[in-house]
Amino acid sequence: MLGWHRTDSLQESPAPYPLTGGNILPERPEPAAAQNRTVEDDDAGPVARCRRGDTEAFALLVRRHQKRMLNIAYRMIGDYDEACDVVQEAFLSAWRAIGGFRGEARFSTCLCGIVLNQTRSHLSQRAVRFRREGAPLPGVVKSAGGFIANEPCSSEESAVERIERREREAKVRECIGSLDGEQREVLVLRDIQGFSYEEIGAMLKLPEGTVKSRLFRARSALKEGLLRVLGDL
Amino acid sequence: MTCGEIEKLLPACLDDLLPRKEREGVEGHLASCAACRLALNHLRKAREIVRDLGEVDPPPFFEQRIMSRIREEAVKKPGILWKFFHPLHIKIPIQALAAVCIVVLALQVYRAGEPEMKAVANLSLPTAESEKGRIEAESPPVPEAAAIPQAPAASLPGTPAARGAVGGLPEKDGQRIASPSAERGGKADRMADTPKPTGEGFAPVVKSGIPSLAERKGAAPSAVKSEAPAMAAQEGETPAGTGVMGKPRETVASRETDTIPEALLIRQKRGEREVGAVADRAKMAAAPAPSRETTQEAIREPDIDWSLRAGDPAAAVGEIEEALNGFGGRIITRLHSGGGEILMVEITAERVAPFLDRLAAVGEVHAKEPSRAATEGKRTLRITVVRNR
Repeated sequence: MLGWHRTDSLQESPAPYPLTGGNILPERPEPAAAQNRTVEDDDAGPVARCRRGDTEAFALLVRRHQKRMLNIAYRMIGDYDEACDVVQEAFLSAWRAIGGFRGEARFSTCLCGIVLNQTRSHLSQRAVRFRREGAPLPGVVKSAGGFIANEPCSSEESAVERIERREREAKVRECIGSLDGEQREVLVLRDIQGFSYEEIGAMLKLPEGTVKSRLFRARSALKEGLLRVLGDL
Repeated sequence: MTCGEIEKLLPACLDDLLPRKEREGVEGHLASCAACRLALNHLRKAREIVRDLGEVDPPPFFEQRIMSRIREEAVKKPGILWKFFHPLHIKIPIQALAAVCIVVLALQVYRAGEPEMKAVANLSLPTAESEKGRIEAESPPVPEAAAIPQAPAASLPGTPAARGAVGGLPEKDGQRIASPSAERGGKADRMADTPKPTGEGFAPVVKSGIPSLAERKGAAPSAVKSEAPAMAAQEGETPAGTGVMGKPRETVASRETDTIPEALLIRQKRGEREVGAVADRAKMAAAPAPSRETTQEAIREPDIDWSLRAGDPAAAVGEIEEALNGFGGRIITRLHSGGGEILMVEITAERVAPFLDRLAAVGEVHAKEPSRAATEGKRTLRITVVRNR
């Protein structure tokens, strides 16, 4: 495992990337969608260059999506270093598979799907590893001391308030981590990352109805968990 | 609707995903139920709490680390299998190279073995044809005289006739047939018969009266006086290194010596069919040759045609030769055909009948009518000795 170190400093947000020609890629036909829909993907240009072996174009894609992918992986895994490893492997897998990318969906959607697959694989391997070692399986989210949120520190916030806030966030992450894996996926993608139901369905290869039902169950379970650990919302 | 039912629908209310009818029902329930309103409020707050969780930033040089691995992957050295199948980084895999090598090798083998292939083909073809005319005692393997063009037996190498006598084959074929005979005296008769078609029928080989080619290399007997010098002359005339495909003659001869007799041995196993094969081969030897006077006696059509069935054809021939000496006759030619012997015998006319009686003691004799009138004083007999089954 690589020794990733999280910093509190705000990294510069990815520079707005140019619209490389505004390629129109055919979208994979969805059951509920129109058959001949096309989807505009701002990543189509770099993706096309990547298919020709242009690594610099892939660097652009990494720059665009690394933060979002890392946050998805982090919310799913709960460990920053492991999330970084997973995202790195996901990008590597995406590079290997980019030759077969036909533009049936947005590149970001496909990349999220890869990250989620890597995350599931990592979690299952971790579960097996802990089971083999006989150690109690840790929660998905590291509790106190394991992570420091990357929100800007308010100068007016006292140290006590900061500690209280961090403890509260740790409990929230613990609640998220206590969710079922399928529910956690849709909760992270919808309520945290803000993807549409259609995109989530494309990532998880699920119908929208299934996504919604999972999400509603996840919301109810999260509410119950937060009420349990926080007392009041 | 009950509170339990309403609670199940509340999460959908956050995204306003309920159908109009259900939404109106939920709104009506919420207006009158404080607990359900509280539950909806908790759901909204829970979502806000989750949304308010801070985002994490990638570690420093995260992109560089990823891209370093990507670049390694992009320029990844090809594996052993890839190197093996694409050694030159061109679109010609080793399979195509192997195919070309196989083709070239096959061509070389074909060209190197072409003489042998022709020999085998020439030897096997008449054999197959002779299936029809399988030798029977009653019908000796003498082809129709009209069907076989007159080809002199003087197909000896060194003469123009010899070069064209072997069924129109090139000179090397004639040499090829002769070479094993020279080196393997036991098979010389079988070998030498091949290129020597007779004028009207088969091609008997000089056995008793005429030595084999091996013998001819040494000293030419009187019966083939013209052959031996011709052979020697040809051997002397042939320039060195003019063998098949430019190889030295010795090399070709030795190679052919190894291959041709084997082909003949196969034929030998086929028994009497050999005789028919020889007759068919005579058809192939249609090229004219001027040196026919050398074995005129040997090739002329016999006056009498007999067939003799004996348990041991070789022993029978010995007895015939012995009897013939007693009757003052002589063997002109002798063709050994593996399963049988064909003898051309000359004997005086008045001793034919006693000789026939003597042959009856050797084996089962089938005598046919003379094919043509006997010459004065002497008659020519063809005795086909076949193995009695």
